[in-house]
Amino acid sequence: MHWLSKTRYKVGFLVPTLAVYIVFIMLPIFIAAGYSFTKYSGIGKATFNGLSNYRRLFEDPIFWKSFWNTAIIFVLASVLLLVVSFFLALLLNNKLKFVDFSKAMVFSPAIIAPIIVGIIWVYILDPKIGVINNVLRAVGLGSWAQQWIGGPNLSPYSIAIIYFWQQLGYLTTIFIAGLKMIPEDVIEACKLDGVNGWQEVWYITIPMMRSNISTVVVLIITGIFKIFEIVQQTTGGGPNHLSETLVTYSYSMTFQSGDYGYGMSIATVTFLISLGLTGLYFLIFRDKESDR
Amino acid sequence: MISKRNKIIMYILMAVVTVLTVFPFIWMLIMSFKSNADILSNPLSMPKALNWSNYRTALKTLNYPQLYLNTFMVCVVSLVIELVITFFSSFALARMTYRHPWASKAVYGFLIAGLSVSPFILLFPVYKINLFFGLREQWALVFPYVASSIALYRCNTCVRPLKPSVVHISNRVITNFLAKEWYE
Repeated sequence: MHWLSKTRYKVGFLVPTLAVYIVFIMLPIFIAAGYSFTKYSGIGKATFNGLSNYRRLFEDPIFWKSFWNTAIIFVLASVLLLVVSFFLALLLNNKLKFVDFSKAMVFSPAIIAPIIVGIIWVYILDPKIGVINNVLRAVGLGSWAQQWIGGPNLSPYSIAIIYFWQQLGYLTTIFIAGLKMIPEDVIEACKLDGVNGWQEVWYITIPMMRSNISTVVVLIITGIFKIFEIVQQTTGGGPNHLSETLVTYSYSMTFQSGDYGYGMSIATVTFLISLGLTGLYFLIFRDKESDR
Repeated sequence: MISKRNKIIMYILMAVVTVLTVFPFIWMLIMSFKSNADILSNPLSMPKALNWSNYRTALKTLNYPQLYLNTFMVCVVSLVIELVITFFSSFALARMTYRHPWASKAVYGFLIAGLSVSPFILLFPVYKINLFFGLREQWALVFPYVASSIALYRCNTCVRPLKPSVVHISNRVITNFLAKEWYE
């Protein structure tokens, strides 16, 4: 492809993406970081106040609560998603009747708008009018009814389950595509060797799906920080900011409390955390990337 | 071949997973036929009749044709622009030869770093930028959406292993793209 690689072609092909990316991702990050050193109420001028936003951040109990909420969602959702979507892909990869219908149904939550996901789950998880609590009360297990959302404790777990429901089909589809790419002769060879089910999965399937697993992990890690509408819809940040996540707390401080400087400092910290996590993952698993 | 017993287990599991996944939608549908008072007082009861009043209220309150048109316009415009620029840059990064081998990896790494950014924490800066460029209506939505690293990541994993045949590349990438864009 050397004849095609004159510098002007390379530059020409790359410039549109680079331009849009720099203007709408890099620049906003710097603007956010810039505002994080100021005190700004949305109107008028922004007054510089150094690191006081960050000092406030470290001593803010709500910030740490939102940090832990995000951490809970992160661990619970990623473990559930990774494991269940992999095994679901193994299940749905077989030739069963209605398996295509099942695949489509399992995928469907991924294509509806996240706000709608939030609205739907309110009617399931709400302590008073939601299905779960009412079914529990109806069968006499009323003591098991909890405040799934709107309470001080269980909200992050509920959010993780909702996110799991939303993304399961999408990740399962990626794994199914990866499973289909395992060459037939490898599978036949191991059947001839008398390998049983679990051994086949552990020694053959998982190693051959490395790049898919890597893709899915990246999608999960980056996706967790994009959970926003679900939290807003189900709890709105919880009773008194108790169920905020890092992202929603930043939004709440910026647009609802009018404290733009502080909100932007939370945003900057969130960005650094997510960058660190993604970078850590790429560093550890660099050799497992597809073609590097 | 899968034993009969295993097949039955698989069917049961498949049914359970499908029902659990679809249940929230079905519950939504059932609830849409109940009136407000019904929902608050008897959450578990089935609606007595096909009560279309909620739908009538919704259709009256919102200008659905305009909303659908807006969504469709933003979707089509974003799709076209994103397909074009992501395909071109993936091609430039994955298939073209560079004098310095680290150059393409550096640019790719730079663009992929954006994967970890959540768009919601950048709402305010993007708003300022939109104001600065005078972007209104759908263009204010299209451009921030188009600046997506996920698209580049997926496109790259597709383009890189392909043999240098322009026809093959464009076919695979476009199909992958239409799938990704549709489902995103």
